[in-house]
Amino acid sequence: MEQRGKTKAAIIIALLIASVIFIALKGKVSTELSVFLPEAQTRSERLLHHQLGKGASTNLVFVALSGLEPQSLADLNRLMTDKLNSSGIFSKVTNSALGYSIDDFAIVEQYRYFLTHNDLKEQFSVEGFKQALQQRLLGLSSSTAVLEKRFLRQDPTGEIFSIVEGLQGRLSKHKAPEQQHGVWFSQDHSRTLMLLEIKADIADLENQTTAVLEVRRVFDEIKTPGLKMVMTGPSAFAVESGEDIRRDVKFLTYLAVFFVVLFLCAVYRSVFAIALIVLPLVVGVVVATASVLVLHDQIHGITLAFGITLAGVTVDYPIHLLTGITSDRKTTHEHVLNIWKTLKLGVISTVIAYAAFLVSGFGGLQQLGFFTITGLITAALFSRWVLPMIAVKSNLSNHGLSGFHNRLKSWGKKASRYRWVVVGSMLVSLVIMVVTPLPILHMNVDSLSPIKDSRRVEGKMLRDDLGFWFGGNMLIATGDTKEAVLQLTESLSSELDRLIEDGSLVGYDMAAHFLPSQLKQSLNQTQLAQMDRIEGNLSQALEGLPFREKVFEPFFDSLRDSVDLPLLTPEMLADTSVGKKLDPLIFDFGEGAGGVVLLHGVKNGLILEKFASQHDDLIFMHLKSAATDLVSRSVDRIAIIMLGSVLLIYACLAYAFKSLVRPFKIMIPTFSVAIVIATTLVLLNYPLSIFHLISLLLVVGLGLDYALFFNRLPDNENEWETTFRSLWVCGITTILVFGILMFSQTPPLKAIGVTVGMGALMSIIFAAVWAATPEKKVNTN
Amino acid sequence: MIIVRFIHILAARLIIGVLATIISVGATADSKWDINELLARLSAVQMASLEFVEKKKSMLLTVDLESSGNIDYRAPDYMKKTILNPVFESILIDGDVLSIEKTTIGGKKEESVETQRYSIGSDSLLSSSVGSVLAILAGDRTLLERDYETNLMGDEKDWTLTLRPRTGVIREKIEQIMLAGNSIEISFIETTYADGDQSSLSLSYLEIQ
Repeated sequence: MEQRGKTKAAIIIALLIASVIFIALKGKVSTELSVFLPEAQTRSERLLHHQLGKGASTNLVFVALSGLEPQSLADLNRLMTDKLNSSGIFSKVTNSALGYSIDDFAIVEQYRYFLTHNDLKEQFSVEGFKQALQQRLLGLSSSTAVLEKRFLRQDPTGEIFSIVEGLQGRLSKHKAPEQQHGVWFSQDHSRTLMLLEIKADIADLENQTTAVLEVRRVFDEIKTPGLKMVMTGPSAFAVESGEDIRRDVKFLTYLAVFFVVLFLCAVYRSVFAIALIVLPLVVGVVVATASVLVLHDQIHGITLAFGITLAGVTVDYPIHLLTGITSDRKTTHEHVLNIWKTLKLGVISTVIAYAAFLVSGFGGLQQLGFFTITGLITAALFSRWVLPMIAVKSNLSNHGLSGFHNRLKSWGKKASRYRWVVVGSMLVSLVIMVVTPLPILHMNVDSLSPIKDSRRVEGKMLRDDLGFWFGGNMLIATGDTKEAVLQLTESLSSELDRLIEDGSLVGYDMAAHFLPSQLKQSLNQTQLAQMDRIEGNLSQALEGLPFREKVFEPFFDSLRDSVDLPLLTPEMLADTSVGKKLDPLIFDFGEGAGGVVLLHGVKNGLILEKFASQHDDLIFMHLKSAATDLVSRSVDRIAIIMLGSVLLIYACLAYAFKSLVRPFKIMIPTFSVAIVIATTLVLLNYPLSIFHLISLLLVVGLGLDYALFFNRLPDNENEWETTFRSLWVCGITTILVFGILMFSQTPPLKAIGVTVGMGALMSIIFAAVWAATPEKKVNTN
Repeated sequence: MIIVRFIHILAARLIIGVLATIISVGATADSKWDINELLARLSAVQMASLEFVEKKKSMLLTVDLESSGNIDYRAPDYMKKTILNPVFESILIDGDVLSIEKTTIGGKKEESVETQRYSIGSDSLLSSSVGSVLAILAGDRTLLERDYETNLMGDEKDWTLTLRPRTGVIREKIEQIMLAGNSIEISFIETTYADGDQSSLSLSYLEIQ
C-alpha cells in the first residue's frame, strides 16, 4: 500500500515536471474571441462564424480626431497620417479621397483587359474607339494632360482609368465621406477621420497589438491640449478587450490572493500550511495548461484566467485533508482514507458538472472545460497521494479564529431549525420564475462579447462617417469555387440595381466590383486575339483625328502580351491593393467558397429575404440577429446538457450510496441554491446569459461538494468539530476567490463572479442547514 | 479622375494663372527693375479677372490643341481657373484646398461634372508648387528660389522671367516655365515639359484692383 502510494506520487511528480518543461517550450497565449462563439452546426452558421471571425473590414482601423476647430484638426490629421504611413505597419493610411495613387494599383496596368468591366467587343469597335479617342483628346487639352499622356499610347480606350476610378478614394461604391480642408470629416464637422489598413496578418493578435500601439504612440507625439482620439475597428476592439481582461484578471488575482492568504493565515497561523493548501492548485493549473497545449497550439487567455479561477475549488481538497493530519503516520493514513471516500465523490460530481463545458458547443468553453477538469483531477490526485507525505512531517494547527469558529458552531447546531428555509425559498423562487414579467434568459450575442456598449456605438459612428458598411445586412452567396461565387454575384447586379431604384436599398459592395469572373474575363480575352479586326477598326476610327502615325504601336504590343496571360483568380491578386479589397468579400470556408454582398441602407429586410430566396445558393443575413439566433439555440442546448449532468450526478451518487433516496437528500440544498440564485439574478434584472448558466453549473458542483461533507458529519463531537471547521474554511476561501470576480469590468467575468460568489456563500449555508444534526442528538454524545 | 502625382503640372499651370491675374497699376518708372521689384508689385494686386487662350503642342498629335476660358484671383490665396472650351473644367485653389470639377464622358455618352477636392498640404509636390505661387504672391523670393532657379531678363516694359525647377519631382516633368509681361501685366506664359510637349497661354485682362 505504502509502496503503491509512493509510485503514484512519483508518477504525479513526473507529470508535473514534464508539464513545466512542455509549457516552457511551447507556451503561447491567444486572445482571439471568436472561439467563445457557439460552434456552428449548419452551413449558414458556419458562414456566420466566418463573418464574425474574419469578415469584411477586419484589417481596418478607424481613427477620429476631435476636440479642436476644424482647421487644426485637419492639420493634425495630415501630420498623423504622414507619420502612420511612414511607420511601415500599415499598407495604407488614407485621410481623403486622394489617398490612393495609380502606383498603388500596378497590377491594373498589366491585367487591364481582364479587370475591366467594359465589354471589349464594344470598346474595340470603330464607334468605341472613336468615342475613346475623343475623350483622350479632351484629356490632352485638360489640366491633367500629363496623366493622360502616361497611358495614352498603350491604352487608347482608357481601361486603366476606368478600373482605377472604381478602386480609389471611396470605401464604398455608394457613399463618399464629407471632406473639409482637404481631409475626411464627419457630417457635423466635429471629427476628422483616418482609415488604416493593417499590413500584417491580423489573425495574429501580436500584429494587431503592434498596429494599435503604433496609433497610440503617434497620437501621443502629435497630442495638443484638447485633442481627443477615438480608435475603433475589430483590431482596436480585440486589443482593448485583451488589455481590459488582462488588467482585470491581474488586479483581481492580486486581490483574491491577498484576501485568501490573509484568511488562511488567520486560520492556520502558518505560511507552510498556506503553501500546502495552494500547492495542489498550482500543480493542477500547470498540468492543465500543458494538456491544453498538447491538444491545441495555444491556450486562450480566457481559458487561463477563468480556468485558474474555476480550479480554485481545489483549494478545498487540501483543507479537508490537512485538518486531520498529525505527526502520527497511522492515524494520518486512516484520516486520509476516510476523507478521500467523500472527497472522491465530491471530485467526481464536480467533474460531471464541469463536463457540461465539454459539450457546450463553444470552442472556447470546451477548452475551458478540459482545462478545469484536468486541473481538478490532478489537484485531487496530488492532494491524495503527494500532499500527505509532505504534510505528515509538519505539525499543523488550524485553531485560528476560534471565536468565529465557536459562533459558527453554535449557529450550526441550531441550523436544523431553519431546514424549512431551504425548501421554502426554492418553492418561492420557482413561483417567482413562473410569474415574473422580467426576461429570464439573455440571448443577445453582445452578452458574449467583452466590448463595452459605449465603444460599440463609437465603432458604428465612425463607420457611418466614412460611408463604410455597417448595420450588418448582407447577402451571402455560396458555390463550389470562388469563380462560381463571382459569377453568381455578378449576375445579381442588375436585380440589385433595380432594388436601389425601388428604394429598398441604398447601395451594395461585392467582390465582382473589383474582379470580374473568369467567365467575363475569358469573353474579353477572345476579343484580344482578333488583332486584324482591332487594327482595322482603330485605323478607321483614327480617320480625321489628329493623332500621329504609329502613336498606338504600344497598344498592339500590350494586346499581344495580354492574349497569353492566364485569367486572373483571387489568389493571384493576393498581396496587391486589389487583393486587399477582395479579401474580405470572397473566401473559402471549408465546404466551398462564399462571397458577401455588403448591403447599405436596407429599408426592409423582408424584401431582401424574399430576393435571396428566389436564388439558389444565396442567403440574406443580418449579422446580429443571426448571431443571436445562434446563441439562443446554444442556450437551449446548454439547458438540456445541464439537465443531463444533473441526472448523471444523481446516478453517480445513487451508485456510491447504493440508495435511490439518499442522493436526492444530498442534492436538495444544492438545487435550491441554484434556483434561488437564478431567481435573484432575474429579479435584479440580470437576465441569465450563457456565462450565468455555466456558472450555475459550477455552483452545483461546489454545493454538492459541501453537501457531501455535511452529510457525513460524524456524531463524535471531536470529529464533528474538525469537519465543521474544515467546511467553513473551505467555504470562505471559495467565496473570496469567486466573489472577487464580481468586481470585474469584463461582462463574462462579472457574470461568473456574481453567480459563483453568491452561490458559494449560499451553498455552504444551505448545506449546513439542511444537513445539520439536531441539537439533542449531538448532546447525547 | 485625377491622381496626385500629376497635380504638380496642374499647380505649375496655376502659378501661371496667378501670375497672369496680376496686373500692373501705376508702376513707378524710377525704381530699380529687378526680380524683387517685380515680385513686390505683383503682390500688391488685390483682385483680378481675365480671359485666356491656351495652345498645347503634343508630340503625339499633328495639330495643336486649343482651349479657352477665364481666371479669377483674390488676394491672398483664392484662385479659380475655368476652362469653357472645348469642355467645361474648373480648378479652384482656396486656402489649403484644391478642387477640380471636370466633365467626363461616360460609357453611355452622358456628360457629367465631377468634383474632387485635394489637400495641398498632404502632398509634397503640390505644396512646393503651390508654395511657389504663394511665394510669388507674397513677394517671397527665398521661398520661390527654393523650388526654382529664376532668371529675369529685359526691362520693366518688356520683361521675361524664366523658372527652372530645382527639385527632382517637378523637374522630372517640367523643363521650364517662361513668363513674359509689361510691368506687372503678364501677357504670355509658356511651359515646356520634359517630354518635349509645350503649352502656351495668352492672357487678356477684364478687371483689376
